[in-house]
Amino acid sequence: MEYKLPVSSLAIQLELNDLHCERGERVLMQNVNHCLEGGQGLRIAGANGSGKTTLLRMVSGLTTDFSGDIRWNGRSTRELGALFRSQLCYLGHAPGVKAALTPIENLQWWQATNGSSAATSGGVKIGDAQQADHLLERALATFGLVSYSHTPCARLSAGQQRRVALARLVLSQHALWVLDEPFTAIDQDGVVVLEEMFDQHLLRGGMIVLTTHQPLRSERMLTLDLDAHRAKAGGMNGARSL
Amino acid sequence: MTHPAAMQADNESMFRILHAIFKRDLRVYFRTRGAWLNPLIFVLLVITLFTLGIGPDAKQLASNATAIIWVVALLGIMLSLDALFRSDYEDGTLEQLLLSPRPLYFAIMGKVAAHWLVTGLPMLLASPLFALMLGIPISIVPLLALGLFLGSGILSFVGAIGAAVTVSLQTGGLLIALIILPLYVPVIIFGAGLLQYALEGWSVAAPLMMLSGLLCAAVVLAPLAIGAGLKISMDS
Repeated sequence: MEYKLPVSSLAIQLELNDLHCERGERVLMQNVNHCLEGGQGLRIAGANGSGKTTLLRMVSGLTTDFSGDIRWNGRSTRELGALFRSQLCYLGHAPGVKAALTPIENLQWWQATNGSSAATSGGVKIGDAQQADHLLERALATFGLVSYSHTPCARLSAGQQRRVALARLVLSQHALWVLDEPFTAIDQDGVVVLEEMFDQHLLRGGMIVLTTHQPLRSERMLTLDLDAHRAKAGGMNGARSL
Repeated sequence: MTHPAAMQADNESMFRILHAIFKRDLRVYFRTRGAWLNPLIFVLLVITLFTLGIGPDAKQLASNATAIIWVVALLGIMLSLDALFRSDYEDGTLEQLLLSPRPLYFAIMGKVAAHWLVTGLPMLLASPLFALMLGIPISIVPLLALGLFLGSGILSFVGAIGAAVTVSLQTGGLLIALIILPLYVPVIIFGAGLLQYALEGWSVAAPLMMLSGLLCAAVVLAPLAIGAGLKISMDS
């Protein structure tokens, strides 16, 4: 791995304060509290349907239908708006990859819309086109996509399409990675690469919030179990129905 | 951010996202020809059906031509609008767009402008053919083309509001029609009026200016409504 710019020279912090979310008649989660510092990862655990994806969408700001607040460095993410989004790299259920475009084109438009500003980053000029190309190549190489870089993604397998989406993490200068099931359809080699990237991101002081059923080896990953935050069915110690 | 350097960066990011999305969508359209070719074929087919239905009386055909052209163009664009945000919604690129730190307003403008280019421009180019089929004098074709181009722009921008609101619904197609057809009334009135005036030999300045004005208003205001609609669709 080559040298990558530090995510942030300042300490970062993500707080989940008293989150409560209902879907229809059902309380999906309640009293979710957590505080995450830079260099820490948070793995959201829970049974299927326990609201893991919903929580990630709440953190990213895609879902606003909940009570409680989510704070980034002490300020509400809703108020921060674009300032918060400029720190956020989100990977959802759908990979966000255009089937008609090649991996390289997909990474290019993502870089232009969601990537860090081309002007300056950490005082270093990175708008240089040559350097941008170099970075793209490195992203594709990391996920073994070099020989497919000019093949439309429609002709790639599901796993390869996920790899195109994950290759964004190589380009990402964002402090916070929010990843919904990043290991889906990824083979063993890919898992190793991905876990190494997580480690490096955390070492740089970045932050990761993810859901996965894959056992993670990093010690910097904390776990938040949503099963413990489900509405209790009847009474204080009513058993959860599964 | 009121810092001058930040303002500069904001201006840059505005055009950066507009350009990126415009270019991306044009690429996608050229690789998936159905998106822009189908509305055009649809319009040609329906006009053919009209000519068959009305019969060989050229005079009767010409007197109905203005209404036929505009209603058919409107339907063609409306049909293509259903796909405007749907594929982005399904493949997850819409999420990425909404989570971009750069202004959504300009991303939407780029998206709709690309759509307008691939639906409006073919109609502009095919307008001599429409005119021939419906017995409209050739001298009026430039005006017809101009009117269709302006009108299709309004239809794209206004129709995209309906597409944005219905993108998360499984059966959005007909609902879009119900939502946006009433909004198309002014376009039909001034678009068909433009042709009518030209056929009668009157000055076309008034309908042309109305269409241009409506287009300006749609380009500036519709992205706000589209953005709000997309956020609501995503927030479920």
